[in-house]
Amino acid sequence: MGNSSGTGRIGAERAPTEGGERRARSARGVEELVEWLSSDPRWMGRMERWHRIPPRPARTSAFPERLDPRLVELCRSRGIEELYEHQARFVEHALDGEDTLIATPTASGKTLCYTLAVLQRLLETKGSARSLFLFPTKALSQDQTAVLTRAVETLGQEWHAYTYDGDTPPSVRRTLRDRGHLVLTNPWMLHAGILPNHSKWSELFRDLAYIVIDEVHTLSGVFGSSVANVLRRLLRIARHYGSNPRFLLCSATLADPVGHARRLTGRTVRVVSEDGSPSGEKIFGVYNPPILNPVAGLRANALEEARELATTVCGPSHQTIFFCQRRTSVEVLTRYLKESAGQMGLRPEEIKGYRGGYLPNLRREIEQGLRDGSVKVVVSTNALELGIDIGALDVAVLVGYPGSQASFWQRAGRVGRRQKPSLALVIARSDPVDQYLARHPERLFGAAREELGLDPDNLVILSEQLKCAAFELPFRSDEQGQLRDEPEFGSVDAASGVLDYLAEDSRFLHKQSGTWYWMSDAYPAQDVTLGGDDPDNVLILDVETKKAIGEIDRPSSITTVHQGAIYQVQGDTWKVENFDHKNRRAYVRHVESDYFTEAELDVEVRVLRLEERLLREQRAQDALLEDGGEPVLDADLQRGEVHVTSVATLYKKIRFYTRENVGAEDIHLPPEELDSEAFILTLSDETANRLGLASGDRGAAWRGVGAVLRRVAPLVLNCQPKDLGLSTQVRSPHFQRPAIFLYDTVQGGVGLSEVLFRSYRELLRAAHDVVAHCACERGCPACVGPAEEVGMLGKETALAVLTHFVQGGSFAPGELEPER
Amino acid sequence: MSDELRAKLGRLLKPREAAAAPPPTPRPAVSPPLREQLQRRDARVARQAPSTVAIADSAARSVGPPSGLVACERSGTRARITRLSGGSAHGEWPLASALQSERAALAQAARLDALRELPLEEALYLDTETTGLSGGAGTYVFLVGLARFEGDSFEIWQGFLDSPADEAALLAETARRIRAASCVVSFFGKSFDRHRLEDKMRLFGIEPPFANKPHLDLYWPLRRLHKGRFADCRLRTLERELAGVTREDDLPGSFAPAAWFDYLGQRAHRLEGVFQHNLDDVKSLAVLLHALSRAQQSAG
Repeated sequence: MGNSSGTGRIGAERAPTEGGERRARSARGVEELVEWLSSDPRWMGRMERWHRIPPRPARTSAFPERLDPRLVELCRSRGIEELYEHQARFVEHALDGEDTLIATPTASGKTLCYTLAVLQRLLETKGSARSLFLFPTKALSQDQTAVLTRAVETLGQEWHAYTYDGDTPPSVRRTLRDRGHLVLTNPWMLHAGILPNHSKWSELFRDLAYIVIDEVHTLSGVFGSSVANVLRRLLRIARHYGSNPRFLLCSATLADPVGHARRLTGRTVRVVSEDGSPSGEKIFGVYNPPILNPVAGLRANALEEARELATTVCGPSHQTIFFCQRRTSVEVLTRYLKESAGQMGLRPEEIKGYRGGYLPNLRREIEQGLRDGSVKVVVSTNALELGIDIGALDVAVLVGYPGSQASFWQRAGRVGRRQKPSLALVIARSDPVDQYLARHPERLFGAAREELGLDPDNLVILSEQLKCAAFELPFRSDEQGQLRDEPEFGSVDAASGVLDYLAEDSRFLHKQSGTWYWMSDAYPAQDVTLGGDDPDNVLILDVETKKAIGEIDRPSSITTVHQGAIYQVQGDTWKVENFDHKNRRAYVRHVESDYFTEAELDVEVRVLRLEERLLREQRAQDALLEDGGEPVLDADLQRGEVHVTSVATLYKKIRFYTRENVGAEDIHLPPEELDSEAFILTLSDETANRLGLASGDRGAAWRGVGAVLRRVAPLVLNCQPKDLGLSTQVRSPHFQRPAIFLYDTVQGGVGLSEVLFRSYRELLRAAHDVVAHCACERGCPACVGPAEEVGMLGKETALAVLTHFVQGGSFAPGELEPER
Repeated sequence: MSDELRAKLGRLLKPREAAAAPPPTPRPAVSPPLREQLQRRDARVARQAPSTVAIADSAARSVGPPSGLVACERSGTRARITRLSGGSAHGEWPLASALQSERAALAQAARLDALRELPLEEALYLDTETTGLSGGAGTYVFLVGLARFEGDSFEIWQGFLDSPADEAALLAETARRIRAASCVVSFFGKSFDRHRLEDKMRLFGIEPPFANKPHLDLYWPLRRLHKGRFADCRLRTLERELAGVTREDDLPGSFAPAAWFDYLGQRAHRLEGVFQHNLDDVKSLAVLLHALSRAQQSAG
């Protein structure tokens, strides 16, 4: 490892960036890094586990025999002498006319799969078979348009590949619609531009052979559920013009590819998932920060550890990516790293932050810097997890488990070149899931387990999308009032009911002779968002330049850009002078701030309607009665609809580095309101008393139980903790007893509470396991929360409650309580 | 639809009426994003809704089908046919003045050489009423006004969409009539009416009749020739300034969608006003054609 001890602390002065440190580090490769981390006394004890995936040679296959010789020639001209096995199989299935999904890691040559299928169909049909491509980002579709155009030119054909997005000039749109054989667009344009104007695209729809969708693993949650409906609309329009296109799907590795593709497209797809591409050795390490306070069980802050680790794992000869969970963390770490660039042999401008909310040109610039190697270190949120082409990097540091295996592999997959080994490190935070996985790392490297949450039948999403669909073509009903000749929406139970509602209650539709017609002068697609880019976003404006410096989603805005908040971009600090909540504008001024801000949120949950209940009873503890008395409630689990009100109450000013609290101020903003679904746990007062919840720490311990449940939920459900809201009530106004609410933070819910309700056993067991095995004495952030928050007996009480839930007998379906 | 589903949809999609819930709640029951969406939507609904602005008698509401509709034997399309004498005046000019236009001047003004050779008496004057300005598959063309000179008279055919189910028939009949004409005359129709018709025709697999059909859109050349002279170049302004047309009791075009929706919903409607508005628009095309010829000639 040479002379630079890896700590970066030799010489307190800033090292000259082109000087010794840079030269010394330029010889370092991944192998040396691993050796250093596993042998240096400072690091070795913190590396809980190493896992190596050996290098893998290519498994290749000859070109399929039916592949047009011109395409074989095209491949050869690009230096491709044979296909990888998975590519050949994909092409075979696609040419058989099957809906096909390829689910292999990044950089395994997925693009070639669909390119060959699409071009083969064009050759076979002498240029009549058209294809529509959906990419999650504009940049990706532009890259691919260039690739396809070159291929078509090499084939000497007159076909046209076009990008159709918001940047396409109106003057060329017409040509594109009439002559575009290969139309590359994104879900938003398909939704708001193409489908509502389908007759302009009749040429495309008449001959639509393939719908190619890249990165389908990103299509989950609200966005995915909306896109699934957009695809229903697409198939419906294609059918109107007489085509029945096939799906060609690409994805990262998925737990349940068939199920995901079925929910997304409504079709049963062929899956190709064995990766035949070669790869260099992949080395994984689980890093657990040292315990600083044995009583509190408190480990060193993961972000601080990342900063320290950076001095070892960053350098001028390789590229390192840091993944943080939160935007604020990205900014803080970027700032830290830029400040210590010299110690890593780097110049500050070789270190970049990257996250959603940066303006597109800044993002493109950073992506380019990563591809051409001029950016050596990037600190990102999940924004770079998506299919943005940044080339392959060398070292990934995950500051915290990203909450799902899929995300873990996506992030880890950002590193790894064909010929060289790569390294991915996960820093475990003082977080229940992180610590659980640090104890059971086999879970990380095992097969993917969690499914993607996708609910195309969410009533809010469905009804919005049905409006758009009815605008595009009327719906017909049969004699029973159900949809007729509608294979896509007809399979949804609620569809005809929603259409009736839109006709009778909202008057968007007009039902006449068994047909629902769109009957409004509105253009619905304009007002219906897909969830990926909410038009309600708050714009952040610099008061001096009057220019936008970023944006943020509305629900987050009340805790991020309230008056007085410090908003950070690229390590720079901006103070919010005024937040115009109504008009969704935050006005900021550039300041040199030595603190950042964190806001507190007050949440209130009201029960609207309960849907399902599991309960456990016990005999009344009345010794006088011989039979033990009538059974009374012990505990129950329910799910139902709730209304949630969130108010930002105050914010704290926290100094960089020391995390010292230097003041707090009130926030005055209107509440955020949400109608959603919740998973609810309650305890009878009697049981609560017996478990010690009645003492002074009652509320705190009960909240501790809720906090653990919320934090371990990602073990049973593919979600981020932020997708679930938590509210605990020691005396619920609705139930008149202690209640915990875990609610879906999406309007109308996307089915998360239902999964929790179904998986309650695993959820409760994981929570119990975390609290029972945590090293702390009286509570810490890695279980129920620190003792200062949960009280001296908080952990003990919370553990008693969880033990009672897990070991106190089984729950049985029960009747809902009458409304109070 | 089950009551349960309706109740749930109501909760999720509709702001709960404060009045409906007796105990006053301190906070709104529906989240602001959803409420704003609904309000934006309601703003549009409000635009279609009857206005409180006083509308004169001719635009008063009526019930039931518009008067004087006849069914076309060939297509079944329902239409109102109005025959006016070519000599009848629209503003200061007789309708038949259109036929006196100088074809060379029109061709020059419209930069459309084909007009030099065309029989002007076979021109078709086109104006439509639709359910929205934004276009898209869900926009209906529910009234198509097509006029032509027949001998001494000016015949205005107003094809009406009596039911959304009859769209294809109305469009096919419209296409047939356009195809039979020597050219199309419209005001801003190249940018609007034509596209609404073409979009819908493609949707129903009807070959649009506009390709290779000379189309004289009065808006562009009139704007060019009179640029800066008037407050704006809307039809209402130009017909008044160039042909002395004044309309009484005109129902603004923005009322058209609501009129048709009301009719389909079997409510009292203002379709009579819409028919009259469309008729006046088409008549203005004839006198403005001649105004264009005059303006071009005096411009040299």
